[in-house]
Amino acid sequence: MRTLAAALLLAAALASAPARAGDATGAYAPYEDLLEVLGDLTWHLRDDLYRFPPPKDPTGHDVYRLALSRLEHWEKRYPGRLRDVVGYARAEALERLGEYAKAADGYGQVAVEGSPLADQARTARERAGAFAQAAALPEEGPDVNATLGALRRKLDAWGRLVERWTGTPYETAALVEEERLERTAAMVVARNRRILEDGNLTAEHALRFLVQKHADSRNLPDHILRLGDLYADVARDYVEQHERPLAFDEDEFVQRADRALDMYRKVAAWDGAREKPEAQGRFAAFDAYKTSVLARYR
Amino acid sequence: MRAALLLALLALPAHADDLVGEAASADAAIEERVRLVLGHRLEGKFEVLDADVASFAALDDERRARGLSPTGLTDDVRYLAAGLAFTRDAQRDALRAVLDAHPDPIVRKCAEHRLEVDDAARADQLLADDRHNRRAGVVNDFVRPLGIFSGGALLAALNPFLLAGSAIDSVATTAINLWHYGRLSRQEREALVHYRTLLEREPDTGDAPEIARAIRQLGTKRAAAVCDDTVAAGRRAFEAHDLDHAAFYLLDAHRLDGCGKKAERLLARTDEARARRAAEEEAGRWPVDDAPSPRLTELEDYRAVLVATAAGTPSGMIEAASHFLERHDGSRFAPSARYARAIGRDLAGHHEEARDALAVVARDKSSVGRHVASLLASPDFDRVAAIDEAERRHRRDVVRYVFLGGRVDGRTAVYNAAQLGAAGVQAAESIGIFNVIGVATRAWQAWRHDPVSNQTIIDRGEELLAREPSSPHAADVHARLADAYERAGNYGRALMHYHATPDPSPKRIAALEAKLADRMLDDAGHAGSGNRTLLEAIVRHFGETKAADKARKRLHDMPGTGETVIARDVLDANPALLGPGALDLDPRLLDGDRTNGELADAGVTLADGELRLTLYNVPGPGQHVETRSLSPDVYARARGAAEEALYARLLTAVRKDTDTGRYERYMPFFIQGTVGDDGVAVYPGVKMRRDQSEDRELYE
Repeated sequence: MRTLAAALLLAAALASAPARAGDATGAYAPYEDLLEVLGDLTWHLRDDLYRFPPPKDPTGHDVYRLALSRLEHWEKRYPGRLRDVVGYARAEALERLGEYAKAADGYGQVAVEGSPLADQARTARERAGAFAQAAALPEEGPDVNATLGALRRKLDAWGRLVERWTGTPYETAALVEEERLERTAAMVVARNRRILEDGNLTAEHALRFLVQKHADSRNLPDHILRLGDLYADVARDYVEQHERPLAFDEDEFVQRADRALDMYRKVAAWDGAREKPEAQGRFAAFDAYKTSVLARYR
Repeated sequence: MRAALLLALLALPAHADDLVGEAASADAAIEERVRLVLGHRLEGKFEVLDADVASFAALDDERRARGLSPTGLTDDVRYLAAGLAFTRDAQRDALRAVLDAHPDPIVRKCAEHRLEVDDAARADQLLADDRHNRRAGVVNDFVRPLGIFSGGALLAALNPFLLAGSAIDSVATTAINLWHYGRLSRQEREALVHYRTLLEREPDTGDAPEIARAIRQLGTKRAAAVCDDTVAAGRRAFEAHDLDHAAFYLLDAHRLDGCGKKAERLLARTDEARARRAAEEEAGRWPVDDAPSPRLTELEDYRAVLVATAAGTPSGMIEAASHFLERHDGSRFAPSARYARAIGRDLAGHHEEARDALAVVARDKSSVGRHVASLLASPDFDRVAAIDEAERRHRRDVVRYVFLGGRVDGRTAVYNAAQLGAAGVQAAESIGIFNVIGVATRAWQAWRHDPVSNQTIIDRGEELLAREPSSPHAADVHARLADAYERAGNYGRALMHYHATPDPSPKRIAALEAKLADRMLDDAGHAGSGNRTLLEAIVRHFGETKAADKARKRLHDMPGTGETVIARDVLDANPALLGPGALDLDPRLLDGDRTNGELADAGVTLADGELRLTLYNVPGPGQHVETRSLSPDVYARARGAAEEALYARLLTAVRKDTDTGRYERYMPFFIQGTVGDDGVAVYPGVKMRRDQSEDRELYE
């Protein structure tokens, strides 16, 4: 019996054995001290994720995801060791990654332990819980109007959270969610523009609103690209609807196509924007389409 | 057959107009014959039309015999009949017969165009040009190194070894050219498409067996080229450590017919590298197997540092870490505590102190020391230092370009090796390093146009300004970005950043504005319908620049929307336009005598129901515009006649290359002088044939 137990223990140990560091060096080397992981995470807890992209470590990985993964591996490798600290930090990483319900759970576990972090964990649990409630609201309905209504309600909930946390590092997380929902709503309108009354105009207004409201966002170039896509789709629709040579009006088409190209060009010339190469590609692709259409009808 | 009919139908409207136009001046009998011909054409009767050709030829002979001018319609009927030929081969024969009969310029142009646009003819021409250019390239590259004034030859006067070096260079270059001689060219790609299109359209043509053979040959070559290109793209990505792209290209190559073996080895290496990377990344996510535990004496203090760090309060972090370091300075956890304290200081806004503290930690040999060292080395950490580094790299690359030329590729390496092999150390003089002329040329080029990308400097600078717009370094970064953008030729952004510097010099602003206006003027030259907007913008925003003067002139000369401009030389060439059925102008306006009124070069403009004549002033210098209102039907007739004349002019215009001299086509050779990376060279060569494909980019 004892032999069997020893064998089972050995098998379990082997099964859960961590990957060896091997000869990994530098930024890829395994860490010795938990402070190394906590330090990186803490350094970026106040980062403005609304205006700037998530921070990266020297190997190019997202700091929050890497910290979460490292903390989870610590728990596996050294179960129970520094549990409150690891649990709290794990919840912080989850919160930054938008997993509010899991973060609230994590904070809750630390709050009930006799840890110096318990008070702070209770406050964090309350905050993450409120975020989780808003995040749990549905985003879809059986039809377009119901979907837009659901998005409206969810946006209201996030709007209240933005107000509640204005001026704190958590405001940016709420802004990120609000922006995501507004973009989703705009894309729902854009996708359904053919069945909505004045669909093209409504979609354009929705995307323009997004561009104007989130002028400070890190996703601004992406919003402009989406607006360009809408204009490009409208230009393609025009060609489809006026396929016969005598129905096709070059000026009408050029006017529509140039609006798309203007948008793409804005981002294609935007130094430092991560969407720049994508915009350059889209500009080239749509410009080629425009040239080909004009050549077809000349 | 269907294609031939289509061709003829397409050709019909324009030439029906011609026929009617020419017939209008002939008698009623001729007009009746024209009507019959058109009827036969619409019925699609080739044989009957063929008879019409003979009939018109006979009529012309008869009119000539009677001392009358011929109808001038035989060539038109012949062209019309050619459009109805049943097969491609018959149609080409008929079109050649049209050309042999010396038709009028419009018919000649149309017939020539029909022959030229034949897919097989285009493909044959492309392949012939390609063969010629390959041979000419080999010969020219063989002769060029022996150019009588090249750097090598001048130095050869002092050192005969170098002459041998030039000869070896010539032979080596020729060997490389011959090695690449069979490479698939753009012209071959295009020819393959034309051959395929033709066989799909006209599978029964007499040229089918020959075309099928060419398709097989070019198809095999193309498949090999696609394989080589895909493997090469994979290799480039692999060498740049871009394993994801390498895997994409190599897998793609592996799936291509007959390409699997070529991609196999590199694909295996990519797989290995990806597995190694995954293992490394996985390793970095785990703690070491025997993570050290704090000693009992330091446990509480260490835990306090951890708790403060997890809580993320800067003051708490500084206090707990300082307390730990005071009591356990020799602990193996001291570097971690210093790291936590540095982060606390940074979060508290003491960035300089934090940076110094991190530099201390980075010198430590511990795990945290290595980690901090890699953090400090990343551009995200110190953005000003990252700009410094990007500028240093840029300067270094420019200097390298000036002294060593562009990147050393395989060809240059063989070239250099050949020279060194022939002349030993002395050859160094001719391989560019000490070639004073080459260095001076490249320095001049570098001064005129930055040969190295400024993008990294720009990206780093823009990122700093986006993240820290009120940083104390912002003004300096604006100035550096203005320089980088100016070097990169983006004068608009350069101007914007220069305006944001503390004391911008009006002189430099004016210089940047002038450059921006020049660039916009260049763009306006190619922008098609958008050029008016650009020209107006130059005048509006940069009114004081020289480019603005040019823009004003171009705007003045530009026809307005909906205007039809008939220049004087068009009227000279088409006197029929002066008649009452067209513009109804007095012929004396073109007789060269200014006293009775004379049209200026600008000619006449039809717009908004009016005829505007640009006339020389009498007496005195200058011109004035005289406007005549036309009734709607007169205006429509005038405009129709004018547009017809302009179209005929466009159709028959000789498309001559402006760079080609009058007798140049009779000279198969050229003598060229170049000032390049390798100094001054004057050498003869075989002329290359110009690539005249209209859809070049479709076959690149």
